Amino acid sequence: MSESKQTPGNDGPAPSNGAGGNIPRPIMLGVVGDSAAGKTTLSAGLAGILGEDQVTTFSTDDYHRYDRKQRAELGITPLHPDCNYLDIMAQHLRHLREGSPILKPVYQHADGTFGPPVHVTPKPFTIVEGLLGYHTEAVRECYDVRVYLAPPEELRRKWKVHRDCSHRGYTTDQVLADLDKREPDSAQFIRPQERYADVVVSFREGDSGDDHALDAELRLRDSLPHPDLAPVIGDGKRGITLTEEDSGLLVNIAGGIEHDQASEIEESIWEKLHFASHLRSERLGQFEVGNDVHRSESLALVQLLLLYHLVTARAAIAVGGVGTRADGASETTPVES
Amino acid sequence: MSPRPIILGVVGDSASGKTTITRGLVRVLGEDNVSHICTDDYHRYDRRQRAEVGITPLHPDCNYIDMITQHLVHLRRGEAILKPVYRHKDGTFGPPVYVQPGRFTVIEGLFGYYVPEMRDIYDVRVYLNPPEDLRRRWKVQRDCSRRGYTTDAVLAELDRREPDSEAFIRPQRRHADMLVAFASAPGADQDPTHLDAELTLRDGLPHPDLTAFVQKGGLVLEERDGALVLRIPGRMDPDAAAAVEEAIWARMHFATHLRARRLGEFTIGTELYRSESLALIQLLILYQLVTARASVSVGGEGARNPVGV
Repeated sequence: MSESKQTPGNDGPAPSNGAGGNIPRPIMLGVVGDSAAGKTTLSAGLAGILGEDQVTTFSTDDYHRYDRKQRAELGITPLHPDCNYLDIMAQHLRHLREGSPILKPVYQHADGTFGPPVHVTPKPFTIVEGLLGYHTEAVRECYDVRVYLAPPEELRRKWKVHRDCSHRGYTTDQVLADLDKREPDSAQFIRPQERYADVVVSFREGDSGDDHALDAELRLRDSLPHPDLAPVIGDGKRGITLTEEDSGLLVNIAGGIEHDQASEIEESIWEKLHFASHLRSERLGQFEVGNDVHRSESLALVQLLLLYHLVTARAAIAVGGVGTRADGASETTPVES
Repeated sequence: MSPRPIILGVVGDSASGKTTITRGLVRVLGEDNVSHICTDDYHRYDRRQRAEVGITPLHPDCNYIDMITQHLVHLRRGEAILKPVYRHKDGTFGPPVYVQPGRFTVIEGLFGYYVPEMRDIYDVRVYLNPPEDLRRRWKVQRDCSRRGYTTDAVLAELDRREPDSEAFIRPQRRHADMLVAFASAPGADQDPTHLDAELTLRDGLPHPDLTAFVQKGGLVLEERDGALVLRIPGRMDPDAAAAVEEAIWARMHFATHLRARRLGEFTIGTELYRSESLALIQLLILYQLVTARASVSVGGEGARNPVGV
């Protein structure tokens, strides 16, 4: 997941403290969701488009309080807030948002232990992937854009088995047993965070049966000003529909959406990003399965919408604004821990 | 809301006596009330990397000075940190540890006063300034017995570090409120158990008035460069020493429960010794800590004099 390439000392002499006067603060994107919900696929895609040298990505898994052995002894899952240093997570995100470096802990998924911390200086965009990224108010306040990934459980289980067996050395039975053990914590602590997201993304298997062209259901909440897609979408007969909801818009994108229709919508978003046309990239919508690269129109549209928010926030800050959030930096929802 | 922690800095070169001074204070204040941070944990390079890069741990570039500052600011606000861990035993880094500031938090290390943002967070700044020949002796003794080096290796390392000591470590002494210099008494044949001490008390902190005790038991108080210098003989008469301690304790009348444990103890190898001069210096530091704590607990700012250093 967050296999950080940094080792202590490879980033040269550190600045003395804080951000310099004229450097705009980094833009913070949260990508929260349960284990194997697709966080890395989404954030790696965005980092590829923005440029790796522009993006600091890390996982809140690094803020686990217990290593794998300790968790087994205590009978606690990593999905439980008590299994994570949520206070330090918020402290570090605040520093990154101010442009200050941190000494980030490192959790090593390969063997479930902690390594030495690494010194991280935030780049213009910081992507924070994780399980409990929106659990406390203190941490929620740190983001410019909050995304929550909510695939159907069945699809997520499939993804988790696939990933943990191929990359993390588990057996299918182990992964399935672990999923069952985690379900109460998922229900109690992970899934409720959906309500804090500006954008909720659910990829799902559509009628086409093509699992490289998943349908996408997007909830665009009013907490961020989203681009108006109504004029280009029209009557929705060509694979994309818009539905008004209480707190925003529901967008359904069919996995088999016609390329022309998708391009037309993308074009209308790029038009609003006229100052960032250098970011136009073939990589939009690409994802890897094993060593094969695939492209999904629905993924491309989702990534472009998120890119829109990141780039717009960056532009707002660069010209002296505070960002693009409709709710400012504050939160009105109750805190639970 | 609980009052903010009181922060003590104990800064000095390698083997200058930081741990000896601190240990007695921790014993008196109680382990449970004291958090202890060593700035060696903030090294940027491990031992192997330092050898490759050709840098000593006494160079600021070999340390995350920015992270020391950031973490100290959090501790002073009463916030927890995830502290890196440098392991002297093998010269590598371990997983970080979660540290909550205690009522009293002691920052010990080479670089505690290096930048102004760092210096601002202390209630009491102590710098240990033994003569170089004494420090070299202490370093050989410690590094050979507890860190597995040979005498020649320690001496060579001391020479290699000297330019950085001079350029980066010793200049920090000017920022201390209390400058401590132990030295062998003249003609004492380097008796390690009865070292003379010279304590420079700068006016950033209000120190207790000791003029009434001057000349008793060999105590000397003089003014030098705008600071008070207290000289404590290694073989100070125990009755005279007791009288001075009594007067200081009288000003800490709200903290008499702390008198149960003795100050001034130290070890050489496994032998336990007691030094009157060490006891008196520790008591003067304790006085500042306890006074700052009392001030903060009744809504004050701490013990520091209003005009900064």
